[in-house]
Amino acid sequence: MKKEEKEKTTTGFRYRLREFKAGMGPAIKELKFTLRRIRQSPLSIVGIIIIVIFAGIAIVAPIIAPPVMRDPYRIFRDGFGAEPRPPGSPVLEPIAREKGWTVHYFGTAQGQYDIFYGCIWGTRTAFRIGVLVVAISLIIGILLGSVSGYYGGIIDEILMRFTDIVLAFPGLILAMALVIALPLMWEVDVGLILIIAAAFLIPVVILRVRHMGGLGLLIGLVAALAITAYKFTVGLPPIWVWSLQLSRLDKVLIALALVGWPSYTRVIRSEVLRVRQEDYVEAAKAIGCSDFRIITKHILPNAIYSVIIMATLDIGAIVLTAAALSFLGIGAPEGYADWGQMISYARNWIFAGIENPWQYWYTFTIPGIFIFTFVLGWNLLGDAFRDILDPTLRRR
Amino acid sequence: MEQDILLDIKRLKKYYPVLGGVLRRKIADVKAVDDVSFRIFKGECFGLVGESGCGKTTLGKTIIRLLEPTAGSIYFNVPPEILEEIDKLENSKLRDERKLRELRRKYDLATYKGPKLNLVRRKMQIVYQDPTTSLNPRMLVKDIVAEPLIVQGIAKGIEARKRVIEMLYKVGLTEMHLYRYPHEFSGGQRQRIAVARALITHPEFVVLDEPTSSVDVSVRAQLLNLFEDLRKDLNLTYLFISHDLSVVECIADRVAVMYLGKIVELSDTEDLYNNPLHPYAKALFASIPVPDPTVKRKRIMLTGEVPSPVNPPKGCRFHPRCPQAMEICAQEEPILKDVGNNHFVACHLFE
Amino acid sequence: MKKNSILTVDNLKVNFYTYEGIVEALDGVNLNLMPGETLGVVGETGCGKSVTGLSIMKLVPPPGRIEEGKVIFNIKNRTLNVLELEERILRKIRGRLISMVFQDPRSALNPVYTVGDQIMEVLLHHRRKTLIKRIIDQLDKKIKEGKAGFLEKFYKKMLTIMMEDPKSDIIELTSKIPFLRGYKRLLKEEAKKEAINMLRLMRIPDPERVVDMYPHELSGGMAQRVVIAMALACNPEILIADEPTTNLDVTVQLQILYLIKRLREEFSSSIIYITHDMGVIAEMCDRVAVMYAGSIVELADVIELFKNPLHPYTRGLLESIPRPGQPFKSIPGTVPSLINPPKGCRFHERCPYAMEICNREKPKFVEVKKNHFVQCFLYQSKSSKD
Repeated sequence: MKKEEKEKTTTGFRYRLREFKAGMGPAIKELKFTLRRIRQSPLSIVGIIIIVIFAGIAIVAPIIAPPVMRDPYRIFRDGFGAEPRPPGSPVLEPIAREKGWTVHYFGTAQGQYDIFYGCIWGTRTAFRIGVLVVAISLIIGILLGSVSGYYGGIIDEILMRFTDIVLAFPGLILAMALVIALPLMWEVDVGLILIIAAAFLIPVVILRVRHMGGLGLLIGLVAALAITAYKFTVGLPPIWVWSLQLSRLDKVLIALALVGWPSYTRVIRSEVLRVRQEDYVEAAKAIGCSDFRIITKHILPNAIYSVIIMATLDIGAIVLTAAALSFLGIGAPEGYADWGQMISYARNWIFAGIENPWQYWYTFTIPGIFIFTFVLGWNLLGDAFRDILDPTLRRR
Repeated sequence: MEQDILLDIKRLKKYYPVLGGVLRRKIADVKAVDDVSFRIFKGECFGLVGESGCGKTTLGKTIIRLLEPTAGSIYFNVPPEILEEIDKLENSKLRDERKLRELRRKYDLATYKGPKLNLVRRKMQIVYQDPTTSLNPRMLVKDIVAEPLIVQGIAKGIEARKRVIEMLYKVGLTEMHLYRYPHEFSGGQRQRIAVARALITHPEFVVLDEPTSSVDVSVRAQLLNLFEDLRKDLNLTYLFISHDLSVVECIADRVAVMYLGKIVELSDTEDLYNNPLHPYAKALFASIPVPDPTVKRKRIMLTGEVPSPVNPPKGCRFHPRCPQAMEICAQEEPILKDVGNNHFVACHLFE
Repeated sequence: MKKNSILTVDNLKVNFYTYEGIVEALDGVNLNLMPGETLGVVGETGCGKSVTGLSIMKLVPPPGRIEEGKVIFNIKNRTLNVLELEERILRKIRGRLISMVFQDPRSALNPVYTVGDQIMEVLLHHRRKTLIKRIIDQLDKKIKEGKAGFLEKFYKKMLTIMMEDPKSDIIELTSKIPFLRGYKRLLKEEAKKEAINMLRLMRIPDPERVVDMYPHELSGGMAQRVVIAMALACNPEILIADEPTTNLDVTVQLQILYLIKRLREEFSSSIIYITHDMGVIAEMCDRVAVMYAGSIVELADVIELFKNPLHPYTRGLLESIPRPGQPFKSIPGTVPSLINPPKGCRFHERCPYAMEICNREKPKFVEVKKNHFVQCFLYQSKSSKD
């Protein structure tokens, strides 16, 4: 009796568990189908393996390259000599020896930074930069792109012109400018930001209840812009100020995210425009779905494929750009475990004289291989996703 | 026998602006639906036929407010006394504008907005032509069919699930089909899912927009039988839009023929098919290929093609192609009139 | 099959190698087409009628592959098996001897070329010699009348060479020099005139204007006429029409059907008309082949088929045509999946007359009455001796 009653629970945990298990059925079927398609494309398997290996390296970094300095992201230096030492050279510094270091597996770079350490911990940095930047750009892109594509009209015009303006700046140069311009210490008026957010959200929520979401969005946007403009022209007293400290790396992250979001916005917008015309979106309107529900449940799940592929490919590109910035000296700070940083230490040693020009090959080749393979892995993965997720290619 | 009027459409218009020029200003209108008036009775299957570009799909979607009407009124489920009063007010010389506006705001579906409109959505639904594109490919069947209940706040959780299963059985599917994606089904089954979705809120009025055009002949009959059974079972009223005249002949009680945004003829099905009066209707019915090689039916071949609805011909829209056109046809537009026995025609030949 | 047929399809088997398995699309199709007749091929979606049409021209796209069978083309006292010819010769046949009209005129026409360009492409590819000859005759006339200048005589010389050997060095040379390659322009002008002529033949109003229009500027009916014009531009022996009017309005369909009927007489082509609409079959065809799940189940004269359908599927198909006042009848069940198709007769799962043997063996295609073929055990002795 008791068990039957429990079986018939209409709400609560048991019911939800049953639903979950049943709902997994078709999802698992889809997953199996996806896996089979992955297996059919050997390059995508290579891509997955590469990324998995890198992820593994990143996870076990503290074990295979035990940190020496207090901040594990600082590469330990074995002395202060300028000339790099080849792989296999012994570790001389006593503190490092205490932590278990005996040999420089990959040699040392200029300034006696251990290349092995730098590359291993650099994997963590690479993941951090790549994934975070792409995630932020993706979120901004989805927000702006879906609103722009769904509502069209003047909202679309305004957002797209703004996007165009940002896109007009050459990416790398804009990133460089932002990195230099962003202050290390930032006084952020959090109170003001909260007020602007409230000015934006309140009209949206109120008018959403009355099924006029679009109008609410417009009013919210105007209110938010008005307050911002007021603050910058007439000036407002500080409300609740926090001081944020931005490390050099955080600046790089922010700069790259600010440069990257326009492309995502455009791609999502065009996909939303395409999906918006499908019958099932109109059918959802006929049922009475709110704009919000249509966008989140109907349009986005179908529009997101191109962007996911783009995001995957972009992770590699972002890592490359970050490496470029580090190479130019405005990326990661001195001695930070970052592949680009490692290559910048090789700048003077790439071609070392006539007699044995490649004798310092390890200073740039090894970090270079890490970068190359990492980006390759993500590119292959992105291609694999494209083959797998493209709905037109999916069935047969 | 006086039947109840479910829908009274008055002078409905749907125009699409054509933007042109450097400043993208409106230079013309695509007159997709141009001043259409008719009534649909409760419980009937009203057929709407015409060729591509005549505006039948637009008319269907505008009636249920999927598209915004440019002008005109839609009275849905309004008591006959009020309809009479509105009629009187509109036709009288001294129109009491304020009263009229008040009544319109209360009863005219074309003026509804927001939550009021949302409530009406439960009562009017649509089944699309192509079930492959009208179902969200990323949603499971159980979510697709349950969505109207959740969105309208009628039911959720286990109650919704019960209703979904009930409806699935009604359309000929089972609960085995709950946890599947649309692409795992055949065309006929997908259309059934679309029907389940449309009927789950127990609407009174369903627009069927070419529901059998994308499926095979053998499946077509199954779907048509389903529509008939559901109509009797759930007391539905249909607007059956199709370009397949032979199907409409079998399922509809009354049929209207549309041409370039206007209704040119409207009558009981048998009357219309056996005795079409309007020259376009005559040509239309005469052009259906008969599946009998021994029958040589008289063919009326029309010249030219359907003109674009942006610049419809002046006067009667059909006059450039009409084999019986007269002088007046190029100047004056004929009005849809009852020529006896509830058979309406819009043609100068019958005035 | 008959000896004087213009086209014979013999035991055609086509498989599609897809991700989900091998789709046995055609399972031994047998057809024949007599000169001057219109053969209808009717069946539902997925029965393989389009694949049959494509196979006749050896145009089956991958992952499809023609496994077995012959397509014998009997023309000008020569017999060719289309499936065994090499691409070079096939290219000469397609469009010239056998033409195809597709279902969707919008996708059959290239949107970035004008209608005229596309018809001219067909003409220039296949009827170059005829066009050149015509120009030469015109030039000759001019020369005789003494109205020809040096340029015209030169052009005539070039064109004569071109007719014989389009790849000769002289042609290559002169086509590089601007002043001397005017003869090519003449060729194009002549082709354009011919294209306008074709459009006029299709009863397209104002052909001089239409020839410079792009496909998207035309209505569905006009576009389909253009496609038919392209198909008939070279006066082919056989025209394969794959549901040419399915996407068109019913009044436009009538116009196109009449057009095809008239062209049938003017061009004396034999037509294979593929459709799913029994009404169109009754209107257009002399003989009818009914297809189900990859094979022809019945083949007969059109009047005989409608009066006396033998195969249960044909009967079901005719009964499911909606008739007012009667309930809708349909064939229960659905078309079987062609991946791992049912053994024996592919219709037996839905057949109201299915017998024990239908499950095990596939019936042979036999002539039950004069010119009336059926593939069904109901009409064969159980010993299935041919």
